[in-house]
Amino acid sequence: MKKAPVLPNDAERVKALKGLQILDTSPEVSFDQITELAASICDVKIALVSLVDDRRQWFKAKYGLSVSETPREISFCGHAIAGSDVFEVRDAALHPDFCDNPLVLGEPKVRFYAGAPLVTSDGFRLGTLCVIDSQPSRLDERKKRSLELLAKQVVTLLEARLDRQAANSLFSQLQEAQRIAHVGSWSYDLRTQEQFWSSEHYRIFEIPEPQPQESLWELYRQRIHPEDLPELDRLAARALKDGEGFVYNHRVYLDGGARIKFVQGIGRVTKTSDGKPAFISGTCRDRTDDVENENRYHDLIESMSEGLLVRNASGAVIQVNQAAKRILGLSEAQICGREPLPAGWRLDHEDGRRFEGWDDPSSVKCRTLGGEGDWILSLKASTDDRRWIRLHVFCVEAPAGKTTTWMMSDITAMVQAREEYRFVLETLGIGVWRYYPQAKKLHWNSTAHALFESDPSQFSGSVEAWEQALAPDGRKTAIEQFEQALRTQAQFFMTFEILTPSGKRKHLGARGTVVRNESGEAVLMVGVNWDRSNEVKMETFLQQERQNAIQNSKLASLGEMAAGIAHEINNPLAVIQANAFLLPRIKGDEQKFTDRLGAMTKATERIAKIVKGLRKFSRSTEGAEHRPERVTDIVNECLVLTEAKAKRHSVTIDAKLESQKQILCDQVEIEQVLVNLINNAIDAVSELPERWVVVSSLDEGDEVLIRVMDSGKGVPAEVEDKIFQPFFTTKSVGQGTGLGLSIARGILEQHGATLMLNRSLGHTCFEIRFKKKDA
Amino acid sequence: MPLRLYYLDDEPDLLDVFSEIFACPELEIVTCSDPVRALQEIQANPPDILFLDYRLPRTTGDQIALQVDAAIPKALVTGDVRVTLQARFDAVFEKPFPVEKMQEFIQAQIQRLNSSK
Repeated sequence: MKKAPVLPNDAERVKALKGLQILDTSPEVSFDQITELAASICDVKIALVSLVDDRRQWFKAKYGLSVSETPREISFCGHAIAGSDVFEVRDAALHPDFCDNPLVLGEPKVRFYAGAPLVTSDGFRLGTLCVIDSQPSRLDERKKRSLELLAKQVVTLLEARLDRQAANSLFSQLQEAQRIAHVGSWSYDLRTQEQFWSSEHYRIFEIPEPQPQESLWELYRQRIHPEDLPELDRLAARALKDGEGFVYNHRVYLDGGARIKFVQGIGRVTKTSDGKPAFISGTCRDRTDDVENENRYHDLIESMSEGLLVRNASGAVIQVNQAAKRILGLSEAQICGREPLPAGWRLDHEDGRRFEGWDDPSSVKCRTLGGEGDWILSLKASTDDRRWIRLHVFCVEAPAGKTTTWMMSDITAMVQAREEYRFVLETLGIGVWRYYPQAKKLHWNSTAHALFESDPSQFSGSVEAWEQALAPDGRKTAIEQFEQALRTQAQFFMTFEILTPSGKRKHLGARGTVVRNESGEAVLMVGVNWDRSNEVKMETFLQQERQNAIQNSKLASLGEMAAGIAHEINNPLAVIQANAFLLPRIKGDEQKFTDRLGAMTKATERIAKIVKGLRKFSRSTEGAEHRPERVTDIVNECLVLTEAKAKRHSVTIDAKLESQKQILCDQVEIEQVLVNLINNAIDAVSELPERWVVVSSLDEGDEVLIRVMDSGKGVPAEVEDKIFQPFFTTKSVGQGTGLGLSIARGILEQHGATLMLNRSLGHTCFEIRFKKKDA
Repeated sequence: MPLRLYYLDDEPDLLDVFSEIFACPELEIVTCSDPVRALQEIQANPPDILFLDYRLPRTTGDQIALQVDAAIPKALVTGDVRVTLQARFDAVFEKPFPVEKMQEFIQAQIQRLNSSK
């Protein structure tokens, strides 16, 4: 058996065969029909379209045979493709090359074979269209020619099949591209009325594919937003009449208007040679996402609180948002244009220099790409309205040329608040400081510098600046106090004195907050300083005034007592004088003489006692030292001074003195308080049927109580609140100064003692509580 | 019958020396230290001459004088530095006693009263 040969160009030939993408594909009617026709023409049992692969022959179409391939070695076709003419074996059993071929010896028992090579346009012989029979036979020229023509037809079919495949793949790629781009396409042949929509066109309009051609236009119209229909009709009429193309932006009306799409339709008209519209084709693009993005962008720009304004290279405003209009107080018409600021308006720098950037954008350095600038400007309208804006300008290189974007914020409130803050600080003379303990850095604001009379430009920024400013005599204490606060406190208050460069001594107050980290270390102190020199002066003055008031009240109560005291002295004086007058008359009567002298001595002692009590009032309160005094002694002295008054008003005075303790006090002052209280008590009860005053002392814990209680029924509620106020009195004019109780309380406060009304005893009772001397 | 002189003063030590100093045959001197009792006695039995101390327990000589017969000649005796009076007094004497002036006043009253009898 002669094996089928391998052709010289076999590799390329096989490659060309594989390129046709035909091997191992399904049967196709057109090829099957050709084999049937070939068998019929040649009057044989079998006809095949056999393609000779690398190692096999494979049958694309087979008539009268069931196997689909055989090895190339034993194939007849492998021999047939070696030449370009029809290869014929009239009786294989007698042919030396084929008589022992398995296809001859076994099924399909080939005796006759004729194959016409399948030659491609490139000259490759891919296989054959062959006819086979189990009887010897031969083809006449007419049949051979028929076989050759049919073989050519097979090649045509094979090649067309590839083109069709390419077209199909192109089409599906196009569909896919449309789907991705949300662009559909359509066409309308005016001559044939034929219409076409791409799948994406169906999808965009949400119409199920496919639809009968004649209903497409009406379906399309139903999807157009009613408000956009007149425009569609106008454009369509013009396209049909004048052959004009169009761009049609419209909305797609879905779910009865519940859903909207934004679509752009573009149409182009192809005309016949005589100028009549023949064919309209175009696209539709779903731009809903774009519109939504644009809207979002627009909403963002319009709703932001910063003003935005875009100017083109020549300075004209091409975009402006709401905030910019509000901040500038101008309308869009006033802003957009070449000279946006109306006459009388000014933009100035903080220092009052005119800002040139607006009218001459070239002065804003960002005319060159990438430049940026920030300014704080005051905007002055022709009225007195004055606004502060922060302006940020940056450049963008856009397709239409350079643009500058002006971002502005209205910072009027902030600037005003800053001015007010500064004004308040300056007016009140409050300095603000910050101290960073870890770096030992100190910051003073301008008012703090003013307080310390320090020159900000020479300021070291060190805490030593403060330490050096302190008056030397209090420096150590102040620094210690400050460091103590730094270590332990959250809020602190301290006072210190400074000696300013000009030689002034100032009392400063400091109040601050300490900020600590997680481990409790102070990282920042913020606080204020103020000049409290006047406050200190006032405190000293008030202290003096209070001393004066006490002194004056002492004089007042002395005056009050004077009349009574004169009477008390004049009476015993009258006794002495009257007895002295009688002495010469009774010279001889020793008994009488002794009696008279006795009366005179008694009267003299009475006077001496009163004067002794009075003498204490001559002492000044100022600088009086507090000395330990027995409570009992103090009370007894007071009883001497008030005894006469009590007697005059028929008021019984009792003393119940239990406490044997001493208190640390200025005796005169305490006596003044007690005399005052006792005198008040006498006055209060003098008109009552029951008239008594009890002065008592007792120990209670570490306190000594002195009570002055009288037979009265307490102080009326409406008076109670007022009795300790200066100049309040219930006595008639001329009877009391009204300073008594407030001064009494003042004096007692200086002694660390309290004066209260005790309401629990059923009678009017004033209660003084002292700390015991030894407590 | 001697004339009656009534002296009210809350200083008991002064009452007996007063009686002794101004004692004379034409005069009967009555003294008292309690203003309430004195007022009762004066009203019940009006004296011819009345001496009143100004400052008295719970009242004054002035107040007493307003409640007795205006016709009785009255003298105020006072240890106070300054007093304000509503009643009419024929004389005011400040303590200690100006003895001579008081003597003159008493004598003048005795003569006036005796001559008018």
